[in-house]
Amino acid sequence: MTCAATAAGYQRDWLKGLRGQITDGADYAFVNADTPHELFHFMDVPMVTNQWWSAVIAAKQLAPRYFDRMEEMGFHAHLPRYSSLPLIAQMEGDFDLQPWGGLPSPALLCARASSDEHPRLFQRWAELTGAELHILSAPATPDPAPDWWVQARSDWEDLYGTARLDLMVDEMEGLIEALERMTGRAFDRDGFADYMARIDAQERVVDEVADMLAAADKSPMSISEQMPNVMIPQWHRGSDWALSHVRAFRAEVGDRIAQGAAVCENERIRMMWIGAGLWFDTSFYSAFEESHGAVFAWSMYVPFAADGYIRTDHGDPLRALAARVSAMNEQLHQPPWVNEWLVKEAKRWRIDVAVMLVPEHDRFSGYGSYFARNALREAGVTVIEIHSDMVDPREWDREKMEARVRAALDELEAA
Amino acid sequence: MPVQSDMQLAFDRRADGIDAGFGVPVGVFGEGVPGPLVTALGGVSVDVKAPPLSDALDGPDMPSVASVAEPFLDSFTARFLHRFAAGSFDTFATIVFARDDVAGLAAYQYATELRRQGILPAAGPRLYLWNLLHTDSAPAERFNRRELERLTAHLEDTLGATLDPDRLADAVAAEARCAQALHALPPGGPDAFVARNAGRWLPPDVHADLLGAHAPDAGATGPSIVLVGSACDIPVLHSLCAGLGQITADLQDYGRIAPTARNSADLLRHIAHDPLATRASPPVRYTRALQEGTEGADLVIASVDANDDSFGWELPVLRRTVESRGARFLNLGFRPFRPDAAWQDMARTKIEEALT
Repeated sequence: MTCAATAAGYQRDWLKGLRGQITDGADYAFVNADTPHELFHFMDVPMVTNQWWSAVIAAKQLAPRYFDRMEEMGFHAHLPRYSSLPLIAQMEGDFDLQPWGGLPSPALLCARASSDEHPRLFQRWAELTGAELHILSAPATPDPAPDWWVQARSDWEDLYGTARLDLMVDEMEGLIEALERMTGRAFDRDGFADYMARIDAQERVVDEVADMLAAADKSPMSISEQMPNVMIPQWHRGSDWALSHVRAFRAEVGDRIAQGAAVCENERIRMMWIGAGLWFDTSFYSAFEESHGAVFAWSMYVPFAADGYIRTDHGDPLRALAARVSAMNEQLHQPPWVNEWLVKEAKRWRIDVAVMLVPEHDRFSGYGSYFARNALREAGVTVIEIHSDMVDPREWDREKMEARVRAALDELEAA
Repeated sequence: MPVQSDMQLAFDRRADGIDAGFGVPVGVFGEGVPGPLVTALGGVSVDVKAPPLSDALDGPDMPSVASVAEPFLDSFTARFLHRFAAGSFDTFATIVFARDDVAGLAAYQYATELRRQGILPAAGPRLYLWNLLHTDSAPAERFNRRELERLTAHLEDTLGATLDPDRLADAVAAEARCAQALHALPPGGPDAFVARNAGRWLPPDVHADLLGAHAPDAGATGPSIVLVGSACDIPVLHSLCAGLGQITADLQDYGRIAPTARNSADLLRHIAHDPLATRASPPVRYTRALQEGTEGADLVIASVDANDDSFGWELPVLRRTVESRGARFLNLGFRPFRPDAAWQDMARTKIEEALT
């Protein structure tokens, strides 16, 4: 069995347990992806991530139904979709159709105001469910260092700014108090330091994997296989299972490279997928292997595990967590952070072609795309823009998109 | 009476019409920058978010900006960037961008990145991000105090002045006098809209004097109309409603009177607590302010820009609230940045229908 299958199996069992807990009435938290999940995990609070649940609904091909309903409810058609799909499903209330039979009302909601819509979406959740709402502030970094990943691992105080970090720590303390009330347990700060150290160790293993994958002659593992191997342990970061899994993942990648294994024996073109996963049509990732020897070697999930998560704690693990969270999403979307990081990664992974998902109705994820596109082109990478959405297939024309990518690959091969 | 000519001219020409005698221009993008701080240090706050009215006809179209502007980039941001790249703000000392403005952060990040990459020259105004949080928690208040210290240092350095408490008190007083005159204006009507917003391109004392001497008449009668939605810097909806009813509140940015500094010892309190700031947190404050602001309306008209990602989440709740009061709710949908005749005809017809 491959590590990906092991991870998927573990997650399936774990989700079954989570589902059981939640449907049996356990208090749980519904949170956004860029919030400090570590606090929830460490306090053993069951947690469902908004964007993950969105992907689950999309994978069940339910998104068109809910986005149609969203407009019928009076929301307009250009509102962001990735983060709103679960809310609309919850408002619709047709739980018999939904995964898990739908979600019961959470006890606690948490979002970071990284984009303007998140606080409002979560306010609507709070009105709908009566759950306690925690909004973490997101002041922007005025002087973002272009090579943020260099400083982020250790010299993060200057990178993210003392005032911003103080604010995030203060607001996380408020969240910790809420979790203590919810669980009836005190937050064990020494234990939390150990937990954060294990996360750090885990992400450093993934960093090694990224180096191995990037340096391999041919891609030994598709991004469809990379994603569960890094995303599932990321979900469980700091647990014994997660640490053990990423070590096994590292061994598997090493073995495959040593054996000369390749996703596509005839690999000629290396591609990167920029953006969140195309959750409703993941087979798109392998569509060009046979015809063009074009392999999606890179998605953000493996390299970001290191650059986005490793934060030396300097004796203050809560502050290190603030450093991890305070610009987590911004680093993936805002100039100069995103463009410089993508160029660094493209060079490191010897990328020829970037396929860039540009979600038009998601300001936060869509803005900065053209800076990234231009920077990659200047670095010699062919960029194909796909104006679509991560979870809404209504405007997705697979045939047309494939044709566009094939045309660009043909052109590249002819050059 | 029609809008006094100096105010009309200020409104039409906007940042392009700033009189050098007013002081050193300090660009402001978005609501929430404490104006008296700028005034006390010898500067004059100049709105740079809303382009001159002539920009729609002959505004610059800079390839450097077009190459990085996604088709869905906020129109205020895009027009600012084209004008910035064309040198429209080269005489400005600095531009302060409000992070909590829906278009402000992108405008700041795109402008700084264009400069960093050498696509635009570094000469011209300094660029500054104003990170005020619209939250009343203790951590947010601590953060905001530090941000104010940072802004003060930036303006002192840029304007070559040291903040003097007496001058600051005078500036706050001038702002208060102006705010009082603004509140005396009728809330609706195109003339009042122009007179109110002219102050974005005039010093507060000059604006207050002009308002005192030349306030537009209240004029309109008829059913009470409240406007809600995303920022609208032209009086198009006020003109459309003229003759059909009276606009008793315009809760959109540029329609409303945003809170200003009222106390030199605490410049931020009223600004940070502004419930109608887009990023007011917790967001229920915004929802409640919308509900309170629409009380008594016979008709509430909503319209948003095509890339709105925040106001739209209020629409169903607000509609239910308004209709539960027996009033009507009209959603005009997406409002173009500069609505053409066809859109205006459509909107006027719908407003007429809603009022019959």
